[in-house]
Amino acid sequence: MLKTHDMLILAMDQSTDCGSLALLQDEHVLGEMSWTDSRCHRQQLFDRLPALLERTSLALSQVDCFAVGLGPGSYTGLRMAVATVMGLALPDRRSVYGVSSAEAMAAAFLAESVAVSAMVIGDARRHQLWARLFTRQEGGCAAASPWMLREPEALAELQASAWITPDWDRIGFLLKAQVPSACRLIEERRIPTAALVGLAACRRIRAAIPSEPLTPIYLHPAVAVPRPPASAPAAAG
Amino acid sequence: MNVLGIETSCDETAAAVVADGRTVLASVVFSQIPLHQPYGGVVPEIASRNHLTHLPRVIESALDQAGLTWAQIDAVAVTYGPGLASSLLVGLSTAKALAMRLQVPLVGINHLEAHVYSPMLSPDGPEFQAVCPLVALMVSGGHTCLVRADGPGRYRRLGWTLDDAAGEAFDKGANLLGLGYPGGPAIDRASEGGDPCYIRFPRGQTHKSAHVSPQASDLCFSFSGLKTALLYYLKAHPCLPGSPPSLASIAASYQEAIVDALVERLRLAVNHEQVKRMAAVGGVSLNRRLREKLKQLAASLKVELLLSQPEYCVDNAAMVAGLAGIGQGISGAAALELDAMPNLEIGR
Repeated sequence: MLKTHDMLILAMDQSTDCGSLALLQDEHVLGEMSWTDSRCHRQQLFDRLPALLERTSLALSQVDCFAVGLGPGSYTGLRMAVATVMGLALPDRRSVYGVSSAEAMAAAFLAESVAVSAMVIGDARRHQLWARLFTRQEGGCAAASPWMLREPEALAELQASAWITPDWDRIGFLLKAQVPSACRLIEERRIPTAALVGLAACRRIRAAIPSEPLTPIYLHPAVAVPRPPASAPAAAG
Repeated sequence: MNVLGIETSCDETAAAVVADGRTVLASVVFSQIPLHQPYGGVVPEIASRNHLTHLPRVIESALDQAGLTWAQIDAVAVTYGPGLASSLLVGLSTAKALAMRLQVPLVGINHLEAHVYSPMLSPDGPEFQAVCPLVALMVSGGHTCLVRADGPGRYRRLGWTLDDAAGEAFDKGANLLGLGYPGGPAIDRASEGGDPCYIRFPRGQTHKSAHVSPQASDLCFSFSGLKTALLYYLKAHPCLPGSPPSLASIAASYQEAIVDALVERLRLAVNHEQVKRMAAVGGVSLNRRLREKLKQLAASLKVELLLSQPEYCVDNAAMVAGLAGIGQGISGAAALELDAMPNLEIGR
């Protein structure tokens, strides 16, 4: 089992357009870099990684564990981050620890507030929102609901002490319109940073909670719908 | 020099280790065909999800089969285009990470150039420069073009498809005939014993246009009308079991139209370029009728025909590692800045 004492963790998150990298020694953040990603600049992670290592005077060979935010979020960004950590870890089979970016964000929020629960809500595209409830627990937080997909009109039923979102720019107006009276709406964008992902991973490792499956959190099926079984050939003979 | 190659441009998750550009120590391909079969074609989201799931295991298998350790890998090569953006990014991200971790050079490879190189993949195969100049027919599910190669890195595109790739034409035809996916092998099998002259389908003559020079027009392809012709034929000639025309003859006639279009333009290109060698590369070059007619063409033109080994016709990583192994591709700092280029071309 992994031990966190003095463990060097390289964490990354690309679930939003704010990509980030962080190096942590146990729960102490040694360095962090962030950037705004776009379709035209998808490779910034690879510019930043050598710079972060140089700034912290560390080498990839010294990293004990790689932590990656699994979303939900941009499928492309998530896949790039997961592929990258798996590539970095492959040669000497270092540990890779996956944690939901939403959980990392919820844990940070609950640590800084008195709320007992946080509903993380995001834009799932295709006219839907995703949501998951997290509750305060000793040393962090835990998921208290499955991943949910909701139509924008059906948000009011999502009860929690607070609502937070990484997509305030896109869905803030929907949340404002539907937030339950007993719920506090955090009216700003919350970003799941690599440092938060690293901290969440560190806490989970310490609590002997296994990594989530190392695949992005896909809230939609892979688009296509199977066709009915093939009919008889058009010509026979 | 041992190069680890990675290829994820479409629906094959592939890794290979090649020594000195030609000796394939290992080539592992995880084919996703069964995953895409229910949809009658490649679904990009399914492809990229499965590349991410399977690529690490495929890479480790390649290294194991090559009998090498990570310390014996001298460079990592990866396809950066053309292909499906979300699929290319999985391979590219993995390759960049591996190169950084291993502290070895990263080489970005053009998938089409890698296919042109694929006939050289054998310890006793020809050296690329020695067989140039040549005209290559690049023919697959996603690409169809004619390329003149004057040496590694020196290509000129002579002709291209104005609509569908030949592999797409096979897929669409097979779908209309109820033969399933992938269409190329299905039509190849279904046409056995059929009469290829039973129906005269159009050979995809391209019309002169302002966008294509008169010379290139003769060397360009068009397959969209062929699929429509088959559709109308099947509507006008509903076939009953046991009565002519047989499925085999329709499939053989459809296949013949595609093959004729490819072979005729290759003949024109070889004559025009005055070369002594021609090559056929890509998945469709496995088609048995095409191979038969290419051999006839080579004999009639008195030129040498270069064909890839069957395992290197379909998408694979050996051709990627091989081309990098002879010093081709984008390397150095530029490679680490490479982004996926879904519409990358060759020789333009």
